Amino acid sequence: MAKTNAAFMSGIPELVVLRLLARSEMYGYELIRAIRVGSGESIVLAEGVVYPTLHSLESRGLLKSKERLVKGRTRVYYQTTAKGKKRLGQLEGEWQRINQGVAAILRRVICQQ
Amino acid sequence: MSAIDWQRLRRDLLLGGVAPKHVRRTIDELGAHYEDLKTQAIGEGLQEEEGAARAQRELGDAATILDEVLSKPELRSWAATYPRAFFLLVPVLSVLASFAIVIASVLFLASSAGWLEGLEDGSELTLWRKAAVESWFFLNCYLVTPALALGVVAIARQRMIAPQWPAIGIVLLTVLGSGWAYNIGWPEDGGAGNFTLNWGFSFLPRVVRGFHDWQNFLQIGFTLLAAAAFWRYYDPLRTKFSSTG
Repeated sequence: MAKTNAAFMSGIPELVVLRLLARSEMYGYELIRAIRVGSGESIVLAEGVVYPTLHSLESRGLLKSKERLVKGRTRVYYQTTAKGKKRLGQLEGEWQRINQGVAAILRRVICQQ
Repeated sequence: MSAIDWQRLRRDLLLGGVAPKHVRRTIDELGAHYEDLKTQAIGEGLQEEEGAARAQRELGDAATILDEVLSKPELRSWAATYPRAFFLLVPVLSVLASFAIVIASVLFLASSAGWLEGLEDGSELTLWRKAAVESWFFLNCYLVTPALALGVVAIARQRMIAPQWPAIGIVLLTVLGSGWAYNIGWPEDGGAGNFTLNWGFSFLPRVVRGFHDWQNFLQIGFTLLAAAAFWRYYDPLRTKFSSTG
């Protein structure tokens, strides 16, 4: 399956990760599956790159993690913190604004054609 | 896509200045993720080798993961980001902290025994209290500085930092930490006891150096040798000592 165009992905992993982990805690593998399924396979990342994003968000206090032993394997579960939810609100607002702006431009171009 | 060489990825992350705790977590979590992908692929009916190849493809290649981690400055260690400040400040602060702890603990021992105010007639400091104070002084005079130097080496090696700034820091720490000397005056005949703390070296004129002697130089030599040996034989990519350096 082709990976999503990297040029369009700036800032999106942060938004998507904070959104999904605000709903329920998940470990990396679960999170990737949730991104795929939730986006209807339109967001496909090299799965390994989600961990630097998770660690970065955690070190900024936007996520918290907890280790758990599940079937003999240690899983690190992540969850959005209160600070992360605040940041999520800002990102969602920005995303809606940009999304509407791009959609308006595309509509205008299509109408002119 | 070739399989990820975990050892190499670990080394590249450390060389890139990523903090050891983030390196360990990244490698552990990627490894677990790879196993999950492989288990799923095999569960879907693929052979072991095909499952491993698919897991590898989905996980992404080492270069992409490395670039992603290195693009996050918040995952870097302080020592790698500011090596000059870190390896000059940490030794000085750790020596000062260790001696502050010594002075505080000696004051506590002395005041709890009535040592500085003088003992009641006929009473003596108990042997265990004398032994405790002497041992504590000995430890701080001869073992704390080498231990701090080894700590600095461990920090630098675990982060795979180039040796120049750690080496300067260790020399600074050794010189500062080896110049201290204590002298204990036990209370006698109802009089008060005392302790003195001096800093200096025997190449200095006697009026400046107080009562220091060649033991300071022995300690400097011992500390630097121990630090150099530790640097040579401590391999941060292994969990135990290695002769490959």
